[in-house]
Amino acid sequence: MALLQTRNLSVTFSTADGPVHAVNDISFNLCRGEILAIVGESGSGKSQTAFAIMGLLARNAHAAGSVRFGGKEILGLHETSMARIRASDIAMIFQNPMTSLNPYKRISSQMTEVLRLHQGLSRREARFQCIEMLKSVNLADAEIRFEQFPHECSGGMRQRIMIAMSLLCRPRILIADEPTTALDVTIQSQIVELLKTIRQVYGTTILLITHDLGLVAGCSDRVMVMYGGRVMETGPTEEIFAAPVHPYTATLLEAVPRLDREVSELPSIPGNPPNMLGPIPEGCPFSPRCQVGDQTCFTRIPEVSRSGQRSWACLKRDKGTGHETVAGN
Amino acid sequence: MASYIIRRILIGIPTILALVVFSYLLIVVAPGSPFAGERPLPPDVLANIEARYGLDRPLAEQIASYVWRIVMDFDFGPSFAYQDRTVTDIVLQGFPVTLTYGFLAFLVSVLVGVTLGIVAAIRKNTWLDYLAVGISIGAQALPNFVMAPILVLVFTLWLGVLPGGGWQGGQLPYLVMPVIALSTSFMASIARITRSSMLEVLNADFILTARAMGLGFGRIIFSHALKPAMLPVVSYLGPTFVGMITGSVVIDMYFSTGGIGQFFVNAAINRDYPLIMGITILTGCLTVTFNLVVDVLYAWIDPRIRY
Repeated sequence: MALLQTRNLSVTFSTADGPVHAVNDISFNLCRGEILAIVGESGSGKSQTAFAIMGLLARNAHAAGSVRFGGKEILGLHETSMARIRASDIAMIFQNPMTSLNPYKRISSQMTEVLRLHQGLSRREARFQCIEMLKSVNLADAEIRFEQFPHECSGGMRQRIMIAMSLLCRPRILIADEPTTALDVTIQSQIVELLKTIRQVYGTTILLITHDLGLVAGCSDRVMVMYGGRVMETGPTEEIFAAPVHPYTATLLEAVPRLDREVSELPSIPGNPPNMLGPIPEGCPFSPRCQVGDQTCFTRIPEVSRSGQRSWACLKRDKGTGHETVAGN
Repeated sequence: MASYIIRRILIGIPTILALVVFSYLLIVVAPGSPFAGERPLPPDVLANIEARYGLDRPLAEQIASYVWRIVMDFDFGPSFAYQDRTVTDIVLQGFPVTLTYGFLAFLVSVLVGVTLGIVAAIRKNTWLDYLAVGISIGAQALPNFVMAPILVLVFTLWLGVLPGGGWQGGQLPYLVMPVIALSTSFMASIARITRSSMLEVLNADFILTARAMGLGFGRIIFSHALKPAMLPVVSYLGPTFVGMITGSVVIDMYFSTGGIGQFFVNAAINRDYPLIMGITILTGCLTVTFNLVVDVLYAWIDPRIRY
């Protein structure tokens, strides 16, 4: 059974201009020990999906559907029960390490606080475990850094500290929301390597949220592509990169610069990302920009088609429409 | 840090000196004389009095000798209006009074204001928030010269539980109304500053991190949000504190507390130059000191601030 099951999850924000449907009816499984990457452009609903799982949505947001962790429903759980799950079962790290640590408190005080709260450790024991964890995320001079304030560390160090802090209680799931976006390229690859090591050493299941396809290719086992608050396509990373089924995935991959292919101009997807304000569109959210679709795409939400480990939601890519990797399954 | 504090104290000295020169000039330039009465004095009598107090000498010399006497003998001169009393005397009599009710009013306004602000912020857009905001707007609309008569009307005239004025060495019944009247509007400002800065802090990324780490609401407020939320409050409190402990004319007049605020106004009316100068210097020194205290507090609250 999957460690985390999400069924028909929707997130709606009530705003002064009307409801914003950030996430519409998405379902996916997170399996024990895997790294699942959710990719999508800004506003595709990937971060809100993570916040909904953590119960950290903004006050004006409402989540519907089901999120089960280890078979237990956790969506809509009371704040105090949810607080017990956070960090000890499901932990989360964020996009900007420069702002996600409290600048007014020493790293030592922020880290030990978590351990003392969830595991009731003594100050001394907590301190010992924190330093051990800082060492295991390869933070140089862990003992010195431990006593410093966040502003005395670089961005990469702070993201390591965030990761160490999130792992203190050995959570089964780590949700990493764009963990490398705010870092420079060399540090990015170090953090990706660190995430892979963590999975190996602690067996942590990782939900990686990113818009960086290179990052996805480098470390995830499976990919879930989101657009306009819906899941477009899900499948093993290698297969999706080799042969995308959904037209959105295909155009998205074409827009990525590659070293092994020479193009004079990098293609972009025509049109604009969808406006999430107002009623939920009746058709596929990608239909206004899709090169493959026709009128029917505007009026019908595509069913999810499955083949092996892959699934996709597109009217024009039904099962057995002749796509190489899908055919014959 | 120590060197910074020493440097700031050294900078404070010319600041106070400039204050002395400017206020002295202002008083002297202002029309009127300490010895102008209903009936003008005969010119030779006036000249005699002015000579006695050194007012016949050139202005620069007057200022220089005034400063000299303060530095050498800590002598702020005699009062012109209160016969046979020195400025030091009057300040020593009045300042403890204002210090007492001012400090108490400061404590009350900080405790109540900060609490109201925090409650309003963490219960944003609920009836508690509206109540707290309502109270602080109401309090803001009640400056001390409105509060004082209302309090006297209610507690002295109607209920008859508190004395309408006097000091009696600062006994509790005599303290209640001055403290409430003085603290109300400050309390309101502190509540509003606390609420808005708390709301801003609660939106910070590191608060989200704290929630993601499973910290409870109370712990997030007190362990993570309170300190940064106090930064704008602290910068407001420095000058406010000085304003409160150097007294309020309204309070002193209305409750006959005999504080320094009353002396200050009387001194200005009487052109009692030495007394005006003495109280101005006191206020100036306190302002310089508490601005420094605020800056030190800032560095203590926010470790990124280093001098």
